[in-house]
Amino acid sequence: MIRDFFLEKIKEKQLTSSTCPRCNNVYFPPVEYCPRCLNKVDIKYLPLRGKIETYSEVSVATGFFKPGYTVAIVDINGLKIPGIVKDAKYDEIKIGDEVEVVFEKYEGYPNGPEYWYYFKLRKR
Amino acid sequence: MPYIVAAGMSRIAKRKETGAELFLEAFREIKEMAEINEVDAVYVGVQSENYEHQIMYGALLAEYANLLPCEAYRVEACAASGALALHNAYVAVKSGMYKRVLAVGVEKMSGKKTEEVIDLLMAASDYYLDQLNGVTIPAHYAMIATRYMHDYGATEEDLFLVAKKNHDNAMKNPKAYLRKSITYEEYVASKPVAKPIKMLDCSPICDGAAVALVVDDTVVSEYSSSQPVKILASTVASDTLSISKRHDITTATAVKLACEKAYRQAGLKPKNIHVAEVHDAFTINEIIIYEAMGYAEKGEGYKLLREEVTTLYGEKPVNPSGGLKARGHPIGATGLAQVYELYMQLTGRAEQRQVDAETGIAINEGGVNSTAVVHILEAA
Repeated sequence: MIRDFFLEKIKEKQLTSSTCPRCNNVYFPPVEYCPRCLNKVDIKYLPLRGKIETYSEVSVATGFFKPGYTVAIVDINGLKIPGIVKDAKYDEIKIGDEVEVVFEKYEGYPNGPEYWYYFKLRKR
Repeated sequence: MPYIVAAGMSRIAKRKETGAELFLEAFREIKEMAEINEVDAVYVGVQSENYEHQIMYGALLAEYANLLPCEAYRVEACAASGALALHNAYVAVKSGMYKRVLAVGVEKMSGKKTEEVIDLLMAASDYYLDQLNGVTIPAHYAMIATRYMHDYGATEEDLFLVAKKNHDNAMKNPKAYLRKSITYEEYVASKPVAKPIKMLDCSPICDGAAVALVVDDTVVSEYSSSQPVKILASTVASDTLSISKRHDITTATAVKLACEKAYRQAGLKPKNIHVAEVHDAFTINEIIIYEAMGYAEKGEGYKLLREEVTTLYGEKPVNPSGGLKARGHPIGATGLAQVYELYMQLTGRAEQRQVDAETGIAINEGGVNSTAVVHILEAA
C-alpha cells in the first residue's frame, strides 16, 4: 500500500511524492494512480529543504496536541506541504524563511504513525 | 420555480435543549406563518453525529414534527450542511418530483468541551496533510490571514472591523447569541486561538436550528398570506479539503465558482444584490468572500470595511443578522440561519435591522471553503 510505503520512507528519513509519467502531475503524499489520468505513478524523493509560504501558532488545540505549536505550509520544489515547525514561535517566523525537513517520533493522535516529518527553521 | 413560503429559527445560544427540541422551536415559527399538514420530504443538515451521539436526524425530526412517514434523511458537508439541505429541497421541487419540502439545519454542540469540538470540526480537513499535523480549522483560516495580510496590506484592524460590524448588527437581532458591541482594545486583548486569529475573530460554539419550507409554483398560492420569496438560484461547488493543495490559498475558489454559477442562474450581477449573508466563521473569511462574490477586486475586500460599505447602513449590507460571528454558528444550522435572515429581510420582517432589499444572497461553506453553497432569493 502506498500509504504504508510513504510512512516506511519517513522512518528511513525520506519524504516521497509521486509524479505521473504521462501528465507530469505531482502528488503529496504519494498516490498509487494519477487521479487525473489513472496512470501508475513514479515515486520521487523530495529535497529536505523548503520555504515557508504561510504559518500560524495554535493555542487552542484538540486534546491530543500540546497547545503552543507552530504550523506552516512549506514550498518544496513547488509542492505545498503542511507541517509542524519545531521550536519556533509565531513572531520568530517570516514568509519566505527557509526550513529543513527533520524526522522524529510522531507526537499527536494516539493512533497516528510511529515516525513523522517536521520542519525546522534554518538560521537566517 | 421553487419558492420559500415560510422560515423559522430557534434562538441561537448555548442551549439546554436537545437538537430535536431546537428544531421544534424553529418549526413552530413556520407553523405560525403557514399551514403545514404534510410535506413530501424532509432534508436535514447536521455536521456531526458525535455531539449528541445521534444519526438518523431525518426520520427523528420528521417524527418530532408529525411528518412521518415521508422521505427524510440527513445531508452533510460540514458547516455547509444547512444550505445543502435547502439545495436538496430546491432540486427536488425544481425537478417536479415534489411540491412541498422542508429543509432543516440543526446542531447541538455545547455538550462537548472546546478541545472535542475542535477535533470534531477537524474531521473536515485532509487526514494525512492536516489532521496528523495538528492543523486545526482555525489554523487553516489563520494561515490564510497571515498570507493575505502579507500580500495585500490588510491589518488586524481590518479583521476587527468585520467582528465589530457583525457584533453591532447582532445587537439588533433578538435571536442572536452575542448581543454586545466590542472595542478594538477588547479585540486585541482576546485570547489567541491560532495566531493571528484571536477569540474575537472566531464564531462561537453554540446550539440552534433553522428551517425553510420550499414549495413549487403550482401550490405557492396556498401560502400567499405568509409572503413567498423566490429562489432564483441554488448552486454548489467544491475545492480541495487541504488549502495546501490550492493554487492560491487566499482565494475562495469554490465560493467564487458557486457565486458565478448562481449569478448566471438568477440573471443578476453582484451590483443587483441588495443584502448578503456570508460565511464569516472567522473574520478573514468575510473579507475573502467579498472578493469571491464579486463585491471587491482580489486583494481589496478589506477596503469595503474601511469605507463602511457593508455595514447595516452602507450601500451593500453584509450579515445584518450578526453573521456567524455574533448571531452564532451552530454548524449544521448556519446555512439555513442565513436563509432565514434573508427571508425576514425580503418580507420586511427584520424590524430594527431591516434594510431596503428586493434581492439577497446567502453564501455558506463547509471545511475551509471546500464546499460552497450559494442561494439567491428575490422578494415575490
